[in-house]
Amino acid sequence: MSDITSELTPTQTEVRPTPRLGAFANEDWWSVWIGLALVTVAWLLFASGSSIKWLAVAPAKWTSASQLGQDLLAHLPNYLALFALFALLFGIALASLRQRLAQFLPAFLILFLGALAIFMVSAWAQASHYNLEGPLVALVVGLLISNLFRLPEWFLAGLRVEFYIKVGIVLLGATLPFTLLVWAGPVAVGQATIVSLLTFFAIFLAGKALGLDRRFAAVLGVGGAVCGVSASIAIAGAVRARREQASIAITLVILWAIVMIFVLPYASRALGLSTAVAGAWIGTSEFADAAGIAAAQAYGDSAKNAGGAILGAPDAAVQTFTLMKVVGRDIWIGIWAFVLAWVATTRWDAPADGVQAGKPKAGEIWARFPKFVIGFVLASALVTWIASYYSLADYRKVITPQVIAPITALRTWAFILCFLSIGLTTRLRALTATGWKPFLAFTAGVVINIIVGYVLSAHVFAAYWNSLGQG
Amino acid sequence: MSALRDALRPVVAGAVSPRCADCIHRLNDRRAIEQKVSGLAVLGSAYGASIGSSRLCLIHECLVSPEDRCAHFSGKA
Repeated sequence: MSDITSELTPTQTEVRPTPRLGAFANEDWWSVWIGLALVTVAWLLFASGSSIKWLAVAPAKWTSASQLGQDLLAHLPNYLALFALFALLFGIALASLRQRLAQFLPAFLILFLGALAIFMVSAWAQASHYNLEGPLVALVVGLLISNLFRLPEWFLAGLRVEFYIKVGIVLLGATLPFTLLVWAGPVAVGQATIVSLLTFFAIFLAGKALGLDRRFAAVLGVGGAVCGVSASIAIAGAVRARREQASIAITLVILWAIVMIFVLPYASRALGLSTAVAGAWIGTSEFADAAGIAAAQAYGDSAKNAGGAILGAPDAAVQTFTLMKVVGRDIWIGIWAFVLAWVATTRWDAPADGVQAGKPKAGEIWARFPKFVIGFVLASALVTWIASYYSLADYRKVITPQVIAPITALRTWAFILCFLSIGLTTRLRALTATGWKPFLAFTAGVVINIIVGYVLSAHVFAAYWNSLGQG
Repeated sequence: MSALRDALRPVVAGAVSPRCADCIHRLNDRRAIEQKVSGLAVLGSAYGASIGSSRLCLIHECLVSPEDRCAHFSGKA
């Protein structure tokens, strides 16, 4: 490779700093602002003697179509206001990111109506009898539609899976005591570190043994070890991987993430795991935030209807999942990217295509940091601070129904929008075109991840996770 | 003033800085990146923080950073 820099004049070699990304420059920051704005408004309305409850609407349990129809009609203004609020908040964010509002708004209207239909199905009194948990119904319906029909291109503008899940995670923070984050953080980080390192090296070494390019093996490894698609694109950028390598890693993440949405809750039930332990296992062994929350929420929902057959509070599954996945695994993405960028530029051969990579910068750690985690922590701290002014009895009697329950309902909306979007964007046929070597390497990591994740969650740290689930 | 200085920089220097950041082959449109990297929008996003300043090079078909360089540089008009 020719030394390009040696042919340049001093002016030409001057490197201008990368422009600083603002606090509105990506979906992560917008999810923080939207989530915190909703939590703040909920609090301000409560403080002024009102509540955000009228907006956080969802169908009530129903046994007949007429009952459902009456409930929907009675709350029609609430649904219209909720749609307008979501469309406004998401629309402003996406417009600022230069996405096309003219396509997003009609697509989002259809998605919102689809999510409402999912809520209606899961509110049916017999839904639990047929295992019609909202997350799984949303996913399966979405998968059926997207794989049986060709969706128009403009409709895809409304299917912002990552954006919806990040908003939901920030809102989830408002329902978790900050003290729990502080207490659970170190164990979550410890467990995640063990599993992440083992999974990465399993995939990386298997990939190398199978003859894969080191850059490709690294993208596969971190995709399986840290946070799925986000990690794959982050590491692909850090090591200057080829486009098809990023695509294959992402495809494998999606493939296994979709499989695990169904397998992990089923296996947890078969193994008799409590909601908290199952959530921790899913958080350790799922490959993407959105897919993991679908699995954890499905398990929590089935615990609600299991008549005590599944131990632990239903919400504990999503809570321990989030502690493990978001706090334990996701926050390291920038460090993985920086370290591998350094290794790639200093230890590995230069890419054959002639690209001369710039010097890795520590600033990349922050640039790629999942900012929505900050919103998650801030939301938790804010609500915990508010709750500190109330006794436990008053908190349960007043704050929970007037503030926490409506925020939980808004969070569930964000999650259902996300789950439906996952199904609607996943083309099963596209998941088969990965090649055997990458598939085998990634699957080696999947096997290790599942086994070690189970042992750590259900045995080594079981007492710890269970104690969280009783709170 | 700084805008004027930036505009005149190529004229003064005789050429633009050959970094990927200034190259027409670096695809900066995040929507287009989502379309080109199949699956990215399913459980991820090109609009999130994780992609950082990495973008697709349309010549080499790989992800590049703004400070990267290569012999195929072609400056933006």
